[in-house]
Amino acid sequence: MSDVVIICSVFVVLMVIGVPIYAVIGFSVAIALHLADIPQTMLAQTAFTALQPFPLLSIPLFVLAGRLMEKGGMANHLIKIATNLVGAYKGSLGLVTVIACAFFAALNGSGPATTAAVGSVTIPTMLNEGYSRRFAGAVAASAGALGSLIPPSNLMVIYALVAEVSIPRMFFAGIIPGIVVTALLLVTAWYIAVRNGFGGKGAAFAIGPLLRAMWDGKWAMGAPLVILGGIYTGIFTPTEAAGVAVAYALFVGLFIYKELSTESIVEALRFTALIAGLLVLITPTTAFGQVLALYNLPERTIEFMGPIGQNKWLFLLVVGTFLILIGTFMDSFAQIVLFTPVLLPAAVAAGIDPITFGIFTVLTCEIGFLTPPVGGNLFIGAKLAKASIEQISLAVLPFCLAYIVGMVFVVAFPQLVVWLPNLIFGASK
Amino acid sequence: MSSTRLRQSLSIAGRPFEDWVACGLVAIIAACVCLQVFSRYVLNIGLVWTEDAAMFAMTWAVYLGAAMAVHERFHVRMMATVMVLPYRAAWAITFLSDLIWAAFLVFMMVYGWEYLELLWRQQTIVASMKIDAKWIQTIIVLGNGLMLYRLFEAYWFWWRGDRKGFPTVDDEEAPDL
Repeated sequence: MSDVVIICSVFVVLMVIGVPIYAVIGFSVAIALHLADIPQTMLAQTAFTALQPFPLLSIPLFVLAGRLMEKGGMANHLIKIATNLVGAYKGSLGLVTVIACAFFAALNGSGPATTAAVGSVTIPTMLNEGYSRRFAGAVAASAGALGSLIPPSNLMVIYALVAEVSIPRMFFAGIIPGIVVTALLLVTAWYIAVRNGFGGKGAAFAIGPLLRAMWDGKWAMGAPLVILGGIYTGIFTPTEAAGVAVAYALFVGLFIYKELSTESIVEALRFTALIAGLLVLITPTTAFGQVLALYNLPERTIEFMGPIGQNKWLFLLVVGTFLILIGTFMDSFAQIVLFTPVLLPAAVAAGIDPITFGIFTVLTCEIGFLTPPVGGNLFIGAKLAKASIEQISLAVLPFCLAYIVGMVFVVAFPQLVVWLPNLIFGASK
Repeated sequence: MSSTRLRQSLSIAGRPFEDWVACGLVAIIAACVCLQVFSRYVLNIGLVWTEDAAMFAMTWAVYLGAAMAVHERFHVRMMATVMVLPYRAAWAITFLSDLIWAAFLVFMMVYGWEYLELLWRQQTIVASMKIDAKWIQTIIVLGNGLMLYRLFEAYWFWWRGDRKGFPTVDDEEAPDL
């Protein structure tokens, strides 16, 4: 049996029997190092060095900022603005949920956090106004996934670190696909609401109340300007922007909206520490990357793909299907860490730009958020709507279609994905 | 995630001590990064130690957060295939996977210690903070050791309690990023 077969078998068996992914990667790397006669202290060394890249700090900081913004009242102000914008249309609260999620996605980097922040307000309101539990949970779960596509995004930070591409480029590349998917989600929510006769009881659209809501919510609306504006102008690095976002969230939550308490700050710190703990699975991955290179796995993947790897559409169809299937079982963070080093060289060989492939990968992860058994957004949506996972899983399918169309858009128009980052930072080399 | 599991030993004010330390470290990361921006644009001075301090706090926060994730049953693991099995079979496989996890933690402690011994033979001073880097790297042994301790503790409490469910796995999966 070849070394590669042994390593892959150990990896798959440990994964399937439910060993934590930190230990799955670590054990597989340890066996590979043993077979290659490399000292095991390399794993101990990377256990420290893998956590040293400064941009990695942006993940806990964006998580903390998002949590503080959620508890500090920003989500409520964004919902008010969205209500004034689309409150009069059929399925109005579904549309409000989608727009508010898109706004909140621009403040924080997490899909499940966006679902929780907006859904905890809009789902109970939808249920009171006669919307079905399935629709209410599904629309919040699916729109919440925008949290990872509209910058800032934790998944994009991880992808950028693993793929060694620019984080600001990834962030700005997410804006146009983010707007496209938001529009598709709005159309889907509207169509389902019209067919079922949901909502439409809100006050007719008027510019006055909208402007008033925007003025009241100016501090919430200002956060994306500070975060993305700071990165765009080069005032901050993405990590510094995340730090400033924390300071901004604290300032607004404590002194402007006055909704942050000591308990909610401690809870936000504690939640952030737990999410930081998940990053431990990165620690064996530097060694994992070296092992992949040692056994020429990226090149073997390209060979394995054969003629599929020559055709961009066919390649992305196969890889997209694979990543969506894997995403139904695997956490999106682990998915990016494990498969990017193997699949990216094959994507580049197929003529796909690494930034475009990153957005494509993030979109597959978002569908993973929405599919059982491991769907973070699905659990939160179901819990808030007091519906079963099975009910929400079915109701969310039309919204998954919006993300799949978004994936097709990214593949069909890659020039539109990289247009904004190229415009701001110049063409990538 | 269950946030009300408060029976852990080595606790302060009803919470495992690493919860408090990790919270403090996250606050330090945020403070250092903000201070870096503030000093550059407001005080017009470039602080050199903030970046190193934030990264070291991050490393410790990650390992302590990983220990928290053991008692909060928050670690990323693929339980979908195991949970379709009958309870006894699922329990046995989960126990086996936890044994493998524990073995890996011991492995990391042993080789982490070996690596520290190598570092101990020389001085690697972090210039910006004037401390020896090996002290910061002790977290590899300490963090994996604390995870191992919390893993054993989970089984201990399960054994001493009603012996229902799984010691280290919740029905719900840990949320995504």
